[in-house]
Amino acid sequence: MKSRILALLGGTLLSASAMAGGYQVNLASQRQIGMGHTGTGLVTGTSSIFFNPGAMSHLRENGVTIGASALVSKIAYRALEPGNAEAEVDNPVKTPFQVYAVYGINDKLKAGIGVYTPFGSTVRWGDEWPGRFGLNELSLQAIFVQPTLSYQITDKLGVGAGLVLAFGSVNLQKTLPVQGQDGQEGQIELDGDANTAVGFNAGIFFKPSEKLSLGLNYRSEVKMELENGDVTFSNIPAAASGNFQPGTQFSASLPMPATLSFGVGFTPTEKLTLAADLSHVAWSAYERLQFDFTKPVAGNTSSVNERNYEDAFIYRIGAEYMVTDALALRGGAYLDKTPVQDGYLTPETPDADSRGLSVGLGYTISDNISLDASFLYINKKERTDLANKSNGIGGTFKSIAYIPGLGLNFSF
Amino acid sequence: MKNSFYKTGALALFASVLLTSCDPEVDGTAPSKGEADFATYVALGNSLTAGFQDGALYSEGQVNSYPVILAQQFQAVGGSSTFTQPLMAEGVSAGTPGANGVPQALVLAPSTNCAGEVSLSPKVPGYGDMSVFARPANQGPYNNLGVPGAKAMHLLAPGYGNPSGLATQPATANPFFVRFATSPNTSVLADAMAQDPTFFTLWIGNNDVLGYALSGGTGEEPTAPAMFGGAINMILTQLAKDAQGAIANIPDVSKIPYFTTVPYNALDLDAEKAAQLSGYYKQMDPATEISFKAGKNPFVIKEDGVVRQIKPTELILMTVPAAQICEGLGSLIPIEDQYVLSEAELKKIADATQAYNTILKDAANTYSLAHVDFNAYLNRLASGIKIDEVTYAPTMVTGNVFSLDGIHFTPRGAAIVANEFISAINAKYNANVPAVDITEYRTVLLP
Repeated sequence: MKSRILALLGGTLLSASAMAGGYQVNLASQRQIGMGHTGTGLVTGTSSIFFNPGAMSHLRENGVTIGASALVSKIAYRALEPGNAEAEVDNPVKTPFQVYAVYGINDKLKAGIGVYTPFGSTVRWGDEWPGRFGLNELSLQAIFVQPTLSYQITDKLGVGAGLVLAFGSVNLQKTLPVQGQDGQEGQIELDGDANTAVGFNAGIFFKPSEKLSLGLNYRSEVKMELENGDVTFSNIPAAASGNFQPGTQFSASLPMPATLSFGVGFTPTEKLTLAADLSHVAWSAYERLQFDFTKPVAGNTSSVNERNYEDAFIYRIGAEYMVTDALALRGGAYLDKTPVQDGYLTPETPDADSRGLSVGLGYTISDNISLDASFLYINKKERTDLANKSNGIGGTFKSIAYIPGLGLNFSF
Repeated sequence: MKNSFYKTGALALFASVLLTSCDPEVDGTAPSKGEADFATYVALGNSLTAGFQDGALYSEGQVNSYPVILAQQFQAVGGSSTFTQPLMAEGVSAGTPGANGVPQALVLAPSTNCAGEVSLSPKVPGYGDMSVFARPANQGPYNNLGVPGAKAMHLLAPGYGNPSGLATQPATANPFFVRFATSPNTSVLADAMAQDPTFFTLWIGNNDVLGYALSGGTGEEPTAPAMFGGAINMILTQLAKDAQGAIANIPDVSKIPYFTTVPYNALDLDAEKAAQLSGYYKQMDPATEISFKAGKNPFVIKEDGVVRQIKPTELILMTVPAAQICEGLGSLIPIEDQYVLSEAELKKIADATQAYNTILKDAANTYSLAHVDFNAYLNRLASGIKIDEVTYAPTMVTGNVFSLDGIHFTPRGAAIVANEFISAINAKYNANVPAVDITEYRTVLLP
């Protein structure tokens, strides 16, 4: 029981996003989503707060950006052969959002603040699928707030850094393998808010020529810690009530790994911008998931599940073409390698190498106002895994997502 | 306007088709019967095949028996959509008739021992008379021919379903077969052959050794292997002549919960009590080897007339009157032979099991049948098997596999058994019969 619960929680926290490698959600800017989520080597606008604070100092105007995506994700499951049970998630549409504001203190120094949601997704398998003892539903919310300063050392060089304050919550539900006289199965729900966590985001932006720009960005690890989360049991038969006591609380922690990105921007003509990013995500920080309970759950006060994620790379390319002065067309693609090793798949994060294709457009309405629209299609490789090392649910998983988004920019 | 509305509608339709068709799908290998023919399937065996659970035959266990699950899975590859069983009437259950009558299916109920400790344990809620063996309301022929209590040779015995054979000494008939035999002098095998099966499963032999084990080694000796082998060959000569099938071997019965639930050393004593008991036995016999210490002690048993302490390798049956332990059972009063399997008795059981399984394996080769190795499966189960986050083990209640009698399966256990059959059948016949989702079947229901 202990390890079952552990597996559940571990998956929960991690599965923040079913839609990126591991549990990252890379939806930080509507313009950049259209360009394959490149941007480390570009001045992306106010979203440089996220992509590269070093580039923020190169912004020529003050600005505010708000944007949101509608994340429609679908995951199909099929039991290990010769089994043929199938299931599909019934995920609600999630709306990751971003708000950025940049203000020039002087020509060289800019201040900004970003609010974005690098985690936030719901995986809902329901309580009837064969893997229900691993997971019914996981819902994770995380909001990062990042006040940032950026300084332009020369026309060619900018540096910047921001403090990240992370707020998060998690809700995890699964079925317990105990049945009452009416055949109903027990349920466990874990619910809690994470302590405010701290990290940073720093970057260097270098523009050696009119046509070429380079960027280096480091987003530090943020360790989310949950304390005094509530464990709620339901449908527990009286005979098993001693194993599942009311008032139980849990604590757990989850690393949101550091990401180091290098990006290149190239502008062969005034109308065309090309970009490429390479990111290294330090997933190996996620070695195991430990849960501690204030009262024994099925006889155990803690549980440990191995995760043993591996560091992974993300390869991105993107382009923007100005059809007119007002209209921009964008396209991009990326490959996000999975950090999950064979044997460690979980229904919370049935991860696999992820292919993203995106299109977008930008339209300038007036001197002050412009709009961005994006559409991202994510297709993960079908993956069959025994899940025998993660205490997950063995089977074949296939995930896709459709992510349309809209953004509004206001500059002054 | 109308036109543009139409266009918008068509566009929306197109978009929805596009999105729907883009739902992720996982394609598996198509179901296939391979070289097998599942058109007419019959199941032969004992209580495990009949769907006996919680110490009785009753409809819920029957409708979740492993042959039913197999038949349901065979349907995906050309098996018949009907699989008929001699169903018990709703609300009626029939255990093995005994001195008190016909026991009803066990329930988990609290019991209080002499020390005032309350614990949940399986209890017979009541007893019925022989009328519970009324003929099934549904018509045969019956595809499930499992007969609780049957040994291998019984499947061949004419008159095994003859009511007049119930009263003879020893009885030559079995009430569980009497209720559905097609005629008084038919045999289980004859009723199977009359259906011209194209496919069969045969899981027999457990009772050839189980009866001895259930009696703590005091009852009927295990069937002689030569006799067992003769019966298996006579059955298969007919059954496998024109049909394909699967034959299962028998697990080592000493590893099922009926024999492993009561620990050998559950006699918990404080120092004072231990000294008193040691003194008592010393007084009775100064040369005694029986002694006690503070903590857990091996129970005192009476095996083959000799009073001694049980060895760690020996087993106590689940039916031992545990409530009397606090009254001195197993300490002052030895546990009787009928509740204990000694090393010698366990060896006899292991030897018989091994001999039967060799015979069954040879028969699978001789008659070219799928061979299901439940002996190996139970050994793997002994250390706990985790499937989709649920642990399965040969332990009472929490092990999820065995019903309240500690011998027969829960519906979940039956589904696991069906999947073991399917694996062996797929391998033997190059088939792809889909395995069943075991989580659709219940485990032990708790109060």
